[in-house]
Amino acid sequence: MVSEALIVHEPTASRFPVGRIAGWLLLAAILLAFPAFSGAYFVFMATLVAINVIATIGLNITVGYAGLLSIGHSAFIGVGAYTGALMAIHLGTPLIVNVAGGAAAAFLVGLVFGAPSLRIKGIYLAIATLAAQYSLSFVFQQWTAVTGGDRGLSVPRVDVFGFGETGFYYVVVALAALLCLAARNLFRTRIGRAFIALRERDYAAQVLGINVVRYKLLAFALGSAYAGAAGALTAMFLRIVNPDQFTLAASVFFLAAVVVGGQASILGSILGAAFMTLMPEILRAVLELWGPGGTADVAGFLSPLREFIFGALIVGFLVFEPRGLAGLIQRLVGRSNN
Amino acid sequence: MPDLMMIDRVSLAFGGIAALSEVSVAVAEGRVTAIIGPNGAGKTSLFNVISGFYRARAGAVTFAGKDILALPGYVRSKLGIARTFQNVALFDGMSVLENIKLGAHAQLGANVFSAGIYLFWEQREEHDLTRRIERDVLAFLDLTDVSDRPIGGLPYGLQKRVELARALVMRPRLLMLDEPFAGMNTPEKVRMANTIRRCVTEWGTTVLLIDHDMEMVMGLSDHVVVLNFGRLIAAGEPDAVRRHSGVIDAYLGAA
Amino acid sequence: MQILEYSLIGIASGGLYVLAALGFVIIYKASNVFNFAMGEMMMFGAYLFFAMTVQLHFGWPVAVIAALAGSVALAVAIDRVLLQRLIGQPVIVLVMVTLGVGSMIKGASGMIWGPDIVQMPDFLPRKPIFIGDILIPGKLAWGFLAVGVIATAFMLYYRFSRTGVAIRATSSDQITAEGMGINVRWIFSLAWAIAGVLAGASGIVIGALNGITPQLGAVALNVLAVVMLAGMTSVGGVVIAGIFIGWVETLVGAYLGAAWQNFMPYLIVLLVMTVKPTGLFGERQIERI
Repeated sequence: MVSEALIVHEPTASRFPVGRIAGWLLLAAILLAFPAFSGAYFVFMATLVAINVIATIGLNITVGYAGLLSIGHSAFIGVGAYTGALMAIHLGTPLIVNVAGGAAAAFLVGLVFGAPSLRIKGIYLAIATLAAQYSLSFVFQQWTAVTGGDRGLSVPRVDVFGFGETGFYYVVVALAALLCLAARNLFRTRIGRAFIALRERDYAAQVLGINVVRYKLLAFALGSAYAGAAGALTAMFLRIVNPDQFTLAASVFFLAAVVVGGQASILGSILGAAFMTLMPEILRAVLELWGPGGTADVAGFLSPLREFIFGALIVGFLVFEPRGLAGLIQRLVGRSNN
Repeated sequence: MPDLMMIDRVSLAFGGIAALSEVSVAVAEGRVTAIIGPNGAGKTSLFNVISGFYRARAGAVTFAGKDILALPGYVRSKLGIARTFQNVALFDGMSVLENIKLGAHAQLGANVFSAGIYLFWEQREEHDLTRRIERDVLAFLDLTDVSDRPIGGLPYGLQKRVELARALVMRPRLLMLDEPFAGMNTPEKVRMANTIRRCVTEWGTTVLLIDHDMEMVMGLSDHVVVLNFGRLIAAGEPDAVRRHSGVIDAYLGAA
Repeated sequence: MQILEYSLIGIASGGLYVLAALGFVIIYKASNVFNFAMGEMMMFGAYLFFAMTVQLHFGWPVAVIAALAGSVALAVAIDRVLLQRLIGQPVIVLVMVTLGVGSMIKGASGMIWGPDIVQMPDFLPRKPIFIGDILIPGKLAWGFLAVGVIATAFMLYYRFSRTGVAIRATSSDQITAEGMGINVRWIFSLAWAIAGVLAGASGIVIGALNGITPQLGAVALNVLAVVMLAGMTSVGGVVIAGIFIGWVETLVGAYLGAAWQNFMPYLIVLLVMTVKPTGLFGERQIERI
């Protein structure tokens, strides 16, 4: 993927970049063939990564590109998850319709929480998203008739083209690729430029004819819509939705993914989501091998350890490598080119 | 020449302290009008009232026959009012070209869906915009060579030109310049003055500017307005204003 | 009569929010940073007190001093080691750092002290206090009293001491304050140190009442609701808002159930944002462009 950390004007001269097309084809071939030579566990993890990539791009649009701090991202993932699950259960609609429904619902709920706070200057959105986190959790838990309360909902199995888990993997990867592309395209046009303008100096944006409040809302709701799509996919994939999946800690997880991968970068969102999804797995493996014996101990120790590491990653990257893994890679590539 | 913009007895206060008191200025179409005055005279405050950052306590501003003070700030710019800022307000994370493209925001049609798809129509729009900027603005302001550079490392004088370019992309009817000569050396100032003059003669743009540099202002302007402590103390042709006793007092501090 | 009893309990427990909220406001006033680690700073202070008394067997006066000192050290470290490196960066970056620090403190505490609730020794008298026929649990009453004393001391310090004046000058205009010879970086650290004392004290009091878990900080997020209601910058407003929110929470909890209780502060936040964005006691900020 091409990083858009800074929007770089692409020279129009090379109409046919053979090398780049070859690279894309290679990547596509690898993703296509991946399930054929790896076990079920790896396909499962790859699917999870791809879903988290979608959610992370959403948060990156809001936080990285538009400079609006959201600390309730997982609540919007939850809105998408419940919407998608309910559609699957009660309407029996196909996967892709449920994903669209989840995205639309999260977009609307995003507008509801964004509207009061984004009219005010300053980072009141952070507080409003915190309020969203707690109020939506409240709804998920208390509206038992619809959400199933603490026990949640079980979602019917989705079989894509009769390929089961592998079919699901293909759908998610294709969708993630499309949504990456859409996000990148957004930042080639006036919409994306306006987002960045808001982040840097919103008063200057206003003078250029940008409706500041409207675009802030759009950036936030769009980020929520990505979260909603990811949520619906999570629900269809794990086949269970409950309030425990959408906590403040989960929101911090995605914030860490954005910061670790690289703010305002599509490549960064992909790297960050992959890193954050795989890191706890590796951590668990390490702890189980060398840790203080007993699986129960490992589980009890893992959760605070994970919390500590997520926090440390946010702090460490912001202080020492604000451009994240994407920036790190760009620097390395740049050095090897010179 | 008819007046493009009428500032009519505008007053502004910050927490009880008057920043502007009944200031009236007529901005003639196709001319250069300058606002001068010592620091704290209220010049930038007046600009900010016109742009919609400050809400006037009393008075009216009419632009092309429309009372604009009731309109939201972003709508005012859509009517054809562009401006630059005292301390260059460019976007560091973007290239020169991207910054300039932002000036055309209101003239473009992309929405979230067309932008996400970015095929056919949308791609055309961006290409056409790039072409238009290269042809009209970059060449005009001699920015062609730096168009792909990030804003961050550019020298100050160049940044001022980029900001002017961004204001000009939309072909504004009124161009408001807040200290266009600040921080420039003499050759840069002369060049800036020529550029402003050319906007007026070639494109018919109306200019309203603020600056401290008497020599540049007097040479460039058709009409000069003097503010002191938020009040209008003189207005007229440059030569008349230069001889006005109140102006001399305001600048020399004599009573 | 019952509603009166709930009201008094609510007012007392709302008072407990006040300290943390004041700590939050002072950092925000001095440096414009929303400190999302405030809750975790409280929790950390409470655990330090627990470690000193239960684990290391010191008397409670020693433990209080040690816990407050530790809390101040943590606060100043956050400011000096992390935030001051980032001066000049967008506020959102600083806020994300505090969020990350909060997560680190929470994780570290979980690893050190485990996920289960621990109880402090009873250093607040248990004997209930009667106001007429109304019974107030002793710990709550004494906790409220302790909070009242500390909050009053803070307000006097903030209002009248030289440093208090310097902090207020910095909060209204950093550049001018610097011109007047105020060391702005030092003021930031001072604000954090004061917030450390307030967080530690508040953590000890809340921990004494409810016990300590790594989740103690989450309760303190309600403090944000208090601060938002008061309008971010109003020191006096925070006291009223804190008591008000505690009161509403307790009544809602009593009549509608615990789930509603946790949700209430956020509902109030959203309402205030919609109706009066500057908060009930906040000042309108004039932005210079």
